[in-house]
Amino acid sequence: MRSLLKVELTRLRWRRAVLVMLLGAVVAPLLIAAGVLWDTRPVSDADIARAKEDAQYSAEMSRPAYDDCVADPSGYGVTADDDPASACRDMVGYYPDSENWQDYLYRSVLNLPAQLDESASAVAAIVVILAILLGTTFVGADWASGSMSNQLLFEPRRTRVWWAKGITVALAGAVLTLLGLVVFWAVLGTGAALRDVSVPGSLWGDVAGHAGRAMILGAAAALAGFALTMFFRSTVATLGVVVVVTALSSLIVGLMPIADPIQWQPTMHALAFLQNGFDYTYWPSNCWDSDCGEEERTISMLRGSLFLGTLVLAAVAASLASFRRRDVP
Amino acid sequence: MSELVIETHGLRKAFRSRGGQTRVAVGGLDLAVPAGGVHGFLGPNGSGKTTTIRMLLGLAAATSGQMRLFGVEVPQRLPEVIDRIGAVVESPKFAPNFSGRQNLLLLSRSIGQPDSRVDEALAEVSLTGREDDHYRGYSLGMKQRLAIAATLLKKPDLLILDEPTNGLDPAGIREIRETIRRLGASGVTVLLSSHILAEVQQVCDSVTIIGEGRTLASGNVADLIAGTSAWRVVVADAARAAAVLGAAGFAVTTDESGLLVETDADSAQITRALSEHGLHLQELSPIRRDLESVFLQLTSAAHEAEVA
Repeated sequence: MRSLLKVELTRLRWRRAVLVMLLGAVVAPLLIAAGVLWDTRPVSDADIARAKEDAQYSAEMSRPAYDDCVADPSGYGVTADDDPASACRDMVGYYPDSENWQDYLYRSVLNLPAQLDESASAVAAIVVILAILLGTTFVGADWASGSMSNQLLFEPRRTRVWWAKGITVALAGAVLTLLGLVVFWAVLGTGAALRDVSVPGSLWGDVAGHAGRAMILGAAAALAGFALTMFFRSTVATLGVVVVVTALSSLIVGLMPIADPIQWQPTMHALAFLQNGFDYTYWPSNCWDSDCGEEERTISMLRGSLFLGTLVLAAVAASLASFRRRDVP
Repeated sequence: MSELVIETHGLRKAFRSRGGQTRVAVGGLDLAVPAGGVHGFLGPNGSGKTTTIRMLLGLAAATSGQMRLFGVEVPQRLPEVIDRIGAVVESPKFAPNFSGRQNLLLLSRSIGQPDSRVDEALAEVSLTGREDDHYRGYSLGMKQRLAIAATLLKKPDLLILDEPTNGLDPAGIREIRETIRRLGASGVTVLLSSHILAEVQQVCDSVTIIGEGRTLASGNVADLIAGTSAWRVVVADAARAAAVLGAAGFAVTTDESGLLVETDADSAQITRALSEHGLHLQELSPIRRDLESVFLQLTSAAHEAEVA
């Protein structure tokens, strides 16, 4: 088994498609991190001057409405109890002397903890998709070229062959995901250090937890992609299933007569696993009013992991059984 | 009696089509391949040769029947003997974006062979110098040679080659046949599946002929084509001779050069029948059968039986 595993790792290393995935796992996080740093770049004097000009212009534009409001407060919904000047200012957004110029910077401050549930999850999602592609194309090439039968002429124990390939893609999926997140956080961490942005002490622990869960998700995704391709014996068929599950599942589940469709969407469970729980608002069906019993619900990480684990296990079981029994062309 | 390297008894493979119909590819095949030499596995296209080989090698499951390789039951105990078997099934199948050497290295390492074995195998099939080219850039002949090199990685006792000269040019065909003969002479048992009669007659020591998924004949090539199936008879009065031989139970046809008598009987019976009626022979010569005539006779009979 060890020699088979080594062979599969070598095969993986030699595959050009895998190198493309690795490149994607570096470039995509780099671009996202660069985008975050750009959006939070320090404010220059010119930026401040332009923001003050914009604020001044806006104040001039809203001045007529403000004057109307002060002249006839009730027409603007201002009650007699309110101070007309203050209430009208808020009502029409009239801020003279550019006092709200910061609103016109359109720039947030670099906040690393906030990136955990935002950009880091986006990075994780991208590298997990790359991991699925890796698992799929790795073995899809074996089926497309027909070399699977050649391999079985040297090792006819199919269960061993399946697991050697499966372990290989799972390891590669985990490494791919880790690589993407390391690149992302390295760029953001460096940016924060250069800007003297303070970082909470607990951040890197949270990042490690997030990255660890992402690695598991990446490994499971690669394994699932591999298992499906071993089942369908076609990269295209697997990619079709992946598109349906990731992109169309919300539509499909939404059309089914299920009370709370979000509870059955794989992508939501992936988010719950990745972010240590996922909160959403549940509206009962056929409810279009604002007050008909909507409630906050949570998909816990445990539920997310059980849901996804069941899907992956089902794919693995079907794939293994199929590979062991079916004729190999 | 020599040891049997390949044995099948009542081997059957049926495929179920999407319409629910069953198509029998191999229908109770009995095959016995003795150790040593080159054994031909001859049959028309679609007769079940490749399916049989795929079942022997564990790539396809038999519907029923028994199979043994080197005396052990397969596919149950195939892992015990797979290291003694090299095989090319149908066309060569390798990763197109890897070099020839990379493809062989992966196979070689999976069975724990040193990398030097790959270079030896490449040299044996004259691929040295092109081993680092991408497989997709190989000619068909080079692909076939690489496939044979892959079989040699194990230093096999049994080599199973399924239509190895398909699509090759004459030089490539000669090269492959020489390789097969050399391997057969070196003590390796070679099972050569082919539908090319001349190839089997030239290269093989023994042969099994199959048709419609069943064994039609088996034995040494020389034995199968031995025995005279027809005689050319020249006499002064051909018409009377034809009548005499016909009355004696021989199948006789007439052509420009004399009479053609189809029979397994020996020359003495023909001579006696003619001399008893005062007819004296001018010429009596045997017409030797070749594998083609044996093959066509057997396969057409099998097809007629199947249709009936």
